[in-house]
Amino acid sequence: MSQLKSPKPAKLIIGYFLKERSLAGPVTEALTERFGPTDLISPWIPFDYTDYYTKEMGRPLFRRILTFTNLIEQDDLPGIKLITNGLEEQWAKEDLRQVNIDPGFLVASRFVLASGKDFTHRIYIGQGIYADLTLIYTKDRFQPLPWTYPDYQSEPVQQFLVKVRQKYIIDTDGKIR
Amino acid sequence: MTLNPELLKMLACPQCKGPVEVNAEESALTCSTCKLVYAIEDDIPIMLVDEARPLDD
Repeated sequence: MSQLKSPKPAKLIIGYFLKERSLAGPVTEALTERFGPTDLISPWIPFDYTDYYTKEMGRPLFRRILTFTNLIEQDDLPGIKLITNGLEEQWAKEDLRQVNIDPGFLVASRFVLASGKDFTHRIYIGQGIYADLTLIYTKDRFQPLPWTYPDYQSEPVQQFLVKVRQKYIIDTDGKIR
Repeated sequence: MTLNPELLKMLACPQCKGPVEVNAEESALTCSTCKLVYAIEDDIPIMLVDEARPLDD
Protein backbone atom coordinates (compact mmCIF):
# COMPACT_ATOMS: atom_id res chain seq x y z
CA MET A 1 0.00 0.00 0.00
CA SER A 2 1.41 3.40 -0.94
CA GLN A 3 2.22 5.99 1.70
CA LEU A 4 0.25 9.14 1.08
CA LYS A 5 2.20 12.36 0.79
CA SER A 6 1.05 15.95 0.54
CA PRO A 7 1.19 17.27 -3.02
CA LYS A 8 3.99 19.66 -3.81
CA PRO A 9 3.22 23.40 -4.10
CA ALA A 10 3.06 24.55 -7.69
CA LYS A 11 4.03 27.52 -9.81
CA LEU A 12 0.99 29.48 -10.89
CA ILE A 13 1.13 30.32 -14.59
CA ILE A 14 -1.52 32.41 -16.30
CA GLY A 15 -1.49 32.85 -20.04
CA TYR A 16 -3.81 35.19 -21.81
CA PHE A 17 -4.42 36.24 -25.37
CA LEU A 18 -6.17 39.25 -26.82
CA LYS A 19 -6.34 41.58 -29.79
CA GLU A 20 -5.89 44.92 -28.03
CA ARG A 21 -2.52 44.88 -26.32
CA SER A 22 -3.49 48.04 -24.45
CA LEU A 23 -5.56 45.75 -22.23
CA ALA A 24 -2.37 44.08 -20.97
CA GLY A 25 -1.96 46.65 -18.20
CA PRO A 26 -5.43 46.25 -16.70
CA VAL A 27 -5.27 42.47 -17.09
CA THR A 28 -1.93 42.25 -15.30
CA GLU A 29 -3.11 44.62 -12.58
CA ALA A 30 -6.24 42.55 -11.93
CA LEU A 31 -4.28 39.31 -11.83
CA THR A 32 -1.59 40.64 -9.50
CA GLU A 33 -4.22 42.14 -7.24
CA ARG A 34 -5.69 38.70 -6.83
CA PHE A 35 -2.67 36.37 -7.04
CA GLY A 36 0.26 38.51 -5.95
CA PRO A 37 3.34 39.79 -7.79
CA THR A 38 4.50 38.36 -11.09
CA ASP A 39 8.06 37.20 -11.56
CA LEU A 40 8.51 36.03 -15.15
CA ILE A 41 6.65 37.54 -18.09
CA SER A 42 6.91 36.15 -21.59
CA PRO A 43 7.34 38.35 -24.64
CA TRP A 44 4.32 38.85 -26.84
CA ILE A 45 3.82 35.69 -28.89
CA PRO A 46 1.61 35.79 -31.99
CA PHE A 47 -1.46 33.64 -31.43
CA ASP A 48 -2.14 32.51 -34.96
CA TYR A 49 -2.56 28.76 -34.72
CA THR A 50 -6.29 28.72 -35.14
CA ASP A 51 -9.22 30.73 -36.47
CA TYR A 52 -11.49 29.40 -33.70
CA TYR A 53 -11.45 32.70 -31.78
CA THR A 54 -11.54 35.09 -34.75
CA LYS A 55 -15.30 35.58 -34.79
CA GLU A 56 -15.41 36.37 -31.06
CA MET A 57 -12.16 38.23 -30.55
CA GLY A 58 -10.97 39.41 -33.98
CA ARG A 59 -7.42 39.16 -35.23
CA PRO A 60 -4.49 39.34 -35.05
CA LEU A 61 -4.30 37.92 -31.54
CA PHE A 62 -1.33 37.93 -29.22
CA ARG A 63 -0.46 35.74 -26.25
CA ARG A 64 1.49 36.59 -23.14
CA ILE A 65 2.28 34.31 -20.20
CA LEU A 66 2.76 35.46 -16.63
CA THR A 67 4.14 33.53 -13.68
CA PHE A 68 3.58 34.45 -10.08
CA THR A 69 6.00 34.60 -7.20
CA ASN A 70 3.63 33.04 -4.68
CA LEU A 71 3.40 29.27 -5.06
CA ILE A 72 -0.07 27.73 -4.94
CA GLU A 73 -1.58 24.51 -3.71
CA GLN A 74 -2.41 22.30 -6.67
CA ASP A 75 -6.02 22.00 -5.55
CA ASP A 76 -6.44 25.78 -5.76
CA LEU A 77 -6.68 25.45 -9.55
CA PRO A 78 -10.50 25.24 -9.77
CA GLY A 79 -10.92 28.34 -7.61
CA ILE A 80 -8.35 30.19 -9.69
CA LYS A 81 -10.12 29.25 -12.92
CA LEU A 82 -13.43 30.53 -11.55
CA ILE A 83 -11.76 33.86 -10.83
CA THR A 84 -10.22 34.18 -14.28
CA ASN A 85 -13.54 33.21 -15.87
CA GLY A 86 -15.12 36.05 -13.94
CA LEU A 87 -12.46 38.49 -15.11
CA GLU A 88 -13.05 37.46 -18.73
CA GLU A 89 -16.73 38.23 -18.26
CA GLN A 90 -15.97 41.60 -16.72
CA TRP A 91 -13.97 42.67 -19.75
CA ALA A 92 -16.36 41.20 -22.30
CA LYS A 93 -18.29 43.55 -24.58
CA GLU A 94 -21.74 42.40 -25.62
CA ASP A 95 -20.89 38.88 -24.43
CA LEU A 96 -17.79 38.75 -26.66
CA ARG A 97 -14.55 38.20 -24.76
CA GLN A 98 -11.87 40.83 -25.19
CA VAL A 99 -9.33 38.65 -23.39
CA ASN A 100 -9.06 34.89 -23.00
CA ILE A 101 -7.32 33.90 -19.76
CA ASP A 102 -5.83 30.42 -19.23
CA PRO A 103 -4.65 29.61 -15.71
CA GLY A 104 -2.55 26.57 -14.97
CA PHE A 105 0.32 25.38 -12.88
CA LEU A 106 3.75 23.88 -13.29
CA VAL A 107 5.57 21.41 -11.11
CA ALA A 108 8.87 19.79 -12.03
CA SER A 109 7.32 16.98 -14.04
CA ARG A 110 4.37 18.58 -15.78
CA PHE A 111 2.35 21.58 -16.84
CA VAL A 112 -1.40 21.52 -16.28
CA LEU A 113 -4.07 23.88 -17.57
CA ALA A 114 -7.56 24.38 -16.19
CA SER A 115 -10.56 24.11 -18.46
CA GLY A 116 -14.29 24.46 -18.09
CA LYS A 117 -14.88 21.92 -20.84
CA ASP A 118 -14.98 18.16 -20.46
CA PHE A 119 -12.91 16.11 -22.85
CA THR A 120 -11.59 12.56 -23.06
CA HIS A 121 -8.22 13.35 -21.48
CA ARG A 122 -9.36 15.85 -18.84
CA ILE A 123 -9.96 15.01 -15.20
CA TYR A 124 -12.71 16.69 -13.16
CA ILE A 125 -11.25 18.64 -10.25
CA GLY A 126 -14.36 20.28 -8.85
CA GLN A 127 -16.29 23.55 -9.15
CA GLY A 128 -17.15 22.70 -12.77
CA ILE A 129 -13.48 22.70 -13.77
CA TYR A 130 -11.28 20.06 -15.41
CA ALA A 131 -7.51 19.60 -15.38
CA ASP A 132 -5.82 19.23 -18.76
CA LEU A 133 -2.41 17.56 -18.61
CA THR A 134 -0.88 19.78 -21.27
CA LEU A 135 2.87 19.01 -21.19
CA ILE A 136 5.13 16.53 -19.41
CA TYR A 137 8.78 17.20 -18.64
CA THR A 138 11.08 14.45 -19.76
CA LYS A 139 14.37 14.19 -21.67
CA ASP A 140 15.23 17.79 -20.74
CA ARG A 141 12.21 19.41 -22.31
CA PHE A 142 8.45 19.74 -22.09
CA GLN A 143 6.98 17.06 -24.29
CA PRO A 144 3.61 17.65 -25.95
CA LEU A 145 0.83 15.14 -25.80
CA PRO A 146 -1.60 14.29 -28.59
CA TRP A 147 -4.07 16.87 -27.31
CA THR A 148 -1.64 19.70 -26.50
CA TYR A 149 -2.74 23.05 -27.94
CA PRO A 150 -0.44 24.08 -30.84
CA ASP A 151 0.69 27.30 -29.15
CA TYR A 152 1.88 25.36 -26.10
CA GLN A 153 3.90 23.16 -28.44
CA SER A 154 5.58 26.18 -30.04
CA GLU A 155 9.25 26.92 -29.47
CA PRO A 156 8.76 30.36 -27.81
CA VAL A 157 6.37 28.90 -25.24
CA GLN A 158 8.59 25.86 -24.71
CA GLN A 159 11.63 28.05 -24.06
CA PHE A 160 9.68 30.20 -21.63
CA LEU A 161 8.33 27.23 -19.68
CA VAL A 162 11.81 25.73 -19.35
CA LYS A 163 12.95 28.99 -17.73
CA VAL A 164 9.90 28.92 -15.46
CA ARG A 165 10.75 25.36 -14.44
CA GLN A 166 14.32 26.36 -13.65
CA LYS A 167 13.06 29.18 -11.45
CA TYR A 168 10.59 26.84 -9.78
CA ILE A 169 13.40 24.41 -8.95
CA ILE A 170 15.52 27.26 -7.53
CA ASP A 171 12.60 28.70 -5.56
CA THR A 172 11.91 25.34 -3.98
CA ASP A 173 15.59 24.90 -3.02
CA GLY A 174 16.28 22.32 -5.66
CA LYS A 175 14.59 19.66 -3.59
CA ILE A 176 11.77 19.06 -5.99
CA ARG A 177 12.36 16.82 -9.01
CA MET B 1 -28.31 37.22 -7.80
CA THR B 2 -26.18 37.31 -10.90
CA LEU B 3 -24.30 34.10 -10.19
CA ASN B 4 -25.23 31.57 -12.85
CA PRO B 5 -27.58 29.05 -11.16
CA GLU B 6 -25.89 26.22 -13.05
CA LEU B 7 -22.51 27.31 -11.68
CA LEU B 8 -23.95 27.56 -8.18
CA LYS B 9 -25.02 23.90 -8.37
CA MET B 10 -21.43 22.88 -9.05
CA LEU B 11 -19.71 24.97 -6.40
CA ALA B 12 -18.43 23.17 -3.35
CA CYS B 13 -16.29 24.01 -0.35
CA PRO B 14 -12.71 23.59 -1.57
CA GLN B 15 -11.70 22.32 1.87
CA CYS B 16 -14.25 19.58 2.54
CA LYS B 17 -15.86 19.36 -0.93
CA GLY B 18 -19.24 19.68 0.77
CA PRO B 19 -22.11 21.93 -0.31
CA VAL B 20 -22.06 25.69 0.13
CA GLU B 21 -25.02 28.01 0.58
CA VAL B 22 -25.46 31.52 -0.71
CA ASN B 23 -26.15 33.98 2.12
CA ALA B 24 -29.17 36.27 2.26
CA GLU B 25 -27.23 39.21 0.82
CA GLU B 26 -25.89 37.01 -1.98
CA SER B 27 -22.44 38.29 -1.20
CA ALA B 28 -20.88 35.08 0.06
CA LEU B 29 -21.07 31.31 0.13
CA THR B 30 -20.97 29.48 3.44
CA CYS B 31 -19.79 26.00 4.31
CA SER B 32 -21.54 25.06 7.53
CA THR B 33 -19.29 22.02 8.02
CA CYS B 34 -16.01 23.94 7.89
CA LYS B 35 -17.62 27.14 9.18
CA LEU B 36 -15.96 29.08 6.41
CA VAL B 37 -17.33 31.92 4.33
CA TYR B 38 -16.20 32.40 0.72
CA ALA B 39 -16.77 35.89 -0.65
CA ILE B 40 -18.47 36.72 -3.91
CA GLU B 41 -16.72 39.79 -5.33
CA ASP B 42 -18.02 41.50 -8.45
CA ASP B 43 -20.09 38.35 -9.10
CA ILE B 44 -16.97 36.17 -8.90
CA PRO B 45 -17.02 33.41 -6.25
CA ILE B 46 -13.63 33.29 -4.52
CA MET B 47 -13.37 29.56 -3.83
CA LEU B 48 -9.92 29.59 -2.25
CA VAL B 49 -9.49 28.31 1.29
CA ASP B 50 -6.75 30.84 2.08
CA GLU B 51 -9.12 33.67 1.28
CA ALA B 52 -12.08 32.37 3.23
CA ARG B 53 -13.00 33.90 6.55
CA PRO B 54 -14.31 32.06 9.60
CA LEU B 55 -18.08 32.09 9.90
CA ASP B 56 -18.00 33.70 13.31
CA ASP B 57 -15.96 36.76 12.16
